[in-house]
Amino acid sequence: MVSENLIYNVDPFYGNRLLDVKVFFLNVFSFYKKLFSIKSFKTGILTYFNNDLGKVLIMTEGIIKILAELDKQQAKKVYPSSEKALKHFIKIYHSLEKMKFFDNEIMEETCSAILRNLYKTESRLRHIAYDDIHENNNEDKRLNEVATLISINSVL
Amino acid sequence: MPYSQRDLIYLKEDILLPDGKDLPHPVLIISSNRSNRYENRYTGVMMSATSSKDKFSFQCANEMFESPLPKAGCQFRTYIVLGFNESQIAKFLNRMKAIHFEMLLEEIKETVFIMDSK
Repeated sequence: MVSENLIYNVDPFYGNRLLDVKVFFLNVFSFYKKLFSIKSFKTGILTYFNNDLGKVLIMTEGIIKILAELDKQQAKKVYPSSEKALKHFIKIYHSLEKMKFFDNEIMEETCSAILRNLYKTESRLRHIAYDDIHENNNEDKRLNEVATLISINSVL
Repeated sequence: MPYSQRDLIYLKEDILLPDGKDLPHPVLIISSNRSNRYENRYTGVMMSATSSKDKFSFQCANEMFESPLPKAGCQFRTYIVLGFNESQIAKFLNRMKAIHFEMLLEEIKETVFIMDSK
């Protein structure tokens, strides 16, 4: 004889009311997992990102071209921004480097070119802005003494 | 030859502080491995913790090296280039990444090894 309790046992969803929710989440998860594993989608995102990097590269190329026209006062004024931009991009480069640039050669080459340009910009501005600055630097004096001592000892 | 180009090392000769303690100063090997192999002689550039900013400053960041630096705010003094032997090296400290090293070399060339106009 089938009891009332047994009726509940033949209902496979009775003890697992959250199954619908779980299936829903699994579907969502599966959808995104599929989406990110599709080659064309990944390539699309990387192309979009590379376009952005390309724009940054063109800007850095342009900046280098106008550096020679700057005088000392102008160089001093813009130098902090250039230093900040370099530090910022070093961090971005480091993050992308850790992900091996998503195995994308164009991204790696563009990032390297941007980094080189930012280094050049910072260097040229620093040379213009700080050309005649000779601080009485005791640390340098000590370093020079040590460097000289080491060099002399190396040939004795 | 246990050391190579881009290695940041400590030398045995330290700077003597006023309180009598030794202050080890890191040096980055800039000479090529081909040159280093010859009689185990190296060329390096001095690293400093000074905060001064001038045409000889090449600021360092942790991201430029394979592991974090022991001190923040370090810089290479691009004009303090020195020669030393392997026997003068105390220990290996860190290794600089290639792209940043390439730019440091460019900086040293432009400040030290550039031909002055006649």
